[in-house]
Amino acid sequence: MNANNFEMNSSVNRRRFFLTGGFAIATTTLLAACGKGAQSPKGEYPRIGEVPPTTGLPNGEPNDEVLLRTATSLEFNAIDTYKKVLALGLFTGSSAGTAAVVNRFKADHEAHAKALSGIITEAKGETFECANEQINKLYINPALDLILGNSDAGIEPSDTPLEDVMALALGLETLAASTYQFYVSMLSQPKLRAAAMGIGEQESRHAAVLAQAINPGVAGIGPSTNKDTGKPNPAAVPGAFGSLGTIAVTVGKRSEAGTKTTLNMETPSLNSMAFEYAKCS
Amino acid sequence: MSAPTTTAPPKQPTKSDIAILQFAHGIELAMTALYTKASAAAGKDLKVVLDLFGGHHLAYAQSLAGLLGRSAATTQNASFYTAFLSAASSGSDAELAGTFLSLENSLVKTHLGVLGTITGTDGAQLIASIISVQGRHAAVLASLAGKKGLGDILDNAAEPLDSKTYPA
Repeated sequence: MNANNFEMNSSVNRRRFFLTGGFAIATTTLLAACGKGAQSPKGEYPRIGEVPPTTGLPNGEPNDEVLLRTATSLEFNAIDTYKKVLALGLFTGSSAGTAAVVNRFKADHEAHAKALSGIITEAKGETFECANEQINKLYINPALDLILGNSDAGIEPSDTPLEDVMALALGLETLAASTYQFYVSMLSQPKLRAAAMGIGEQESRHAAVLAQAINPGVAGIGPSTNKDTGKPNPAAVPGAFGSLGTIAVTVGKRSEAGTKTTLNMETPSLNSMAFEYAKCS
Repeated sequence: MSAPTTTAPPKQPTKSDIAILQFAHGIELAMTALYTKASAAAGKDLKVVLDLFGGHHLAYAQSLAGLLGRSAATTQNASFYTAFLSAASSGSDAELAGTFLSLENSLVKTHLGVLGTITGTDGAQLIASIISVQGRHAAVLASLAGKKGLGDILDNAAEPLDSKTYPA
């Protein structure tokens, strides 16, 4: 007898055992897969418990109309946010002049939305004249909660709401500018690319004005780093080329360590676009 | 909207794109040289800004040269450079900033025209990334030029540059 208790010359040796066992397992698996046994009357895989039925989204292509609808939705995000910000009554005293800037930016976004809707209508498309829900959900609502507080979520209001509102506005304007720049590579027609960047360029100017308001003077024009946090300071001209990278917005009540919460914004991608099947609610 | 096209736009500049981008390249080279001239005439603070922006225009020229390869312009647009040399190299800091404000605004309009004409997406992406920052340049220069009104900073009534007025 060897170490495995199988006689090497026996009819049931180790090699034959594996061959026979393997064949039996393979055969059983094959029969189970092909069979329509009592446990799967509809030919479905058996399961335990109830699974709610799901309905998949219709297919959507990021064509010119969808890109312009999405850009319009971002304009409405900005319009709605500026309306909320103006209603807070933060722009008083030495900040009273900022209200005029915010009002001008809001008016610009209204003009941009109208221009985009005009292009869509002219091309026999369907306009999308409301804010992008996904952008609200992912970026704007969390930012406003951090600034204004949300007792249900246990979030205390910011101790520097005006500073944070300006940071959010800078983030939104930068996001809008980056979105138009990004969509240039996706729009099929040159005239639409130019129309998009004509608006995107104005969003860039908004961002530069806000950056100078937050970090004024020559020191706030080019890129610089905050010595305390190690993070980039707001800059009117942060680089030679328009960036498509993540946009960091730092807002909220300072922690004991002196830090605020940073939200990272990104240009609307496939999961945030106003596809043709999307409707304003 | 019109039926979606089934043919993807080209990535590389087409033959007709190349001529348009060559003009933009020559203008960017001239802008780099004009900023260098202005920097020598500017006060301490403005010099910092002009050096920064001049460096950006050099980066645009280099990127366009990379895109165009052997088709790139070999020299700056001499007629454009000559037309603005005097204004770009003399005057107070506010006047210098005002000169470059109008030049940046013109370049934004010029590049928007380029973007609305070329079909290659590589060139379109590059030009879009340039436009975005030149708008920022203009906003900053408007403040340095002493413009107080928001309209002076945000609105752009400049005319685009064209190759008939400024032949290479």
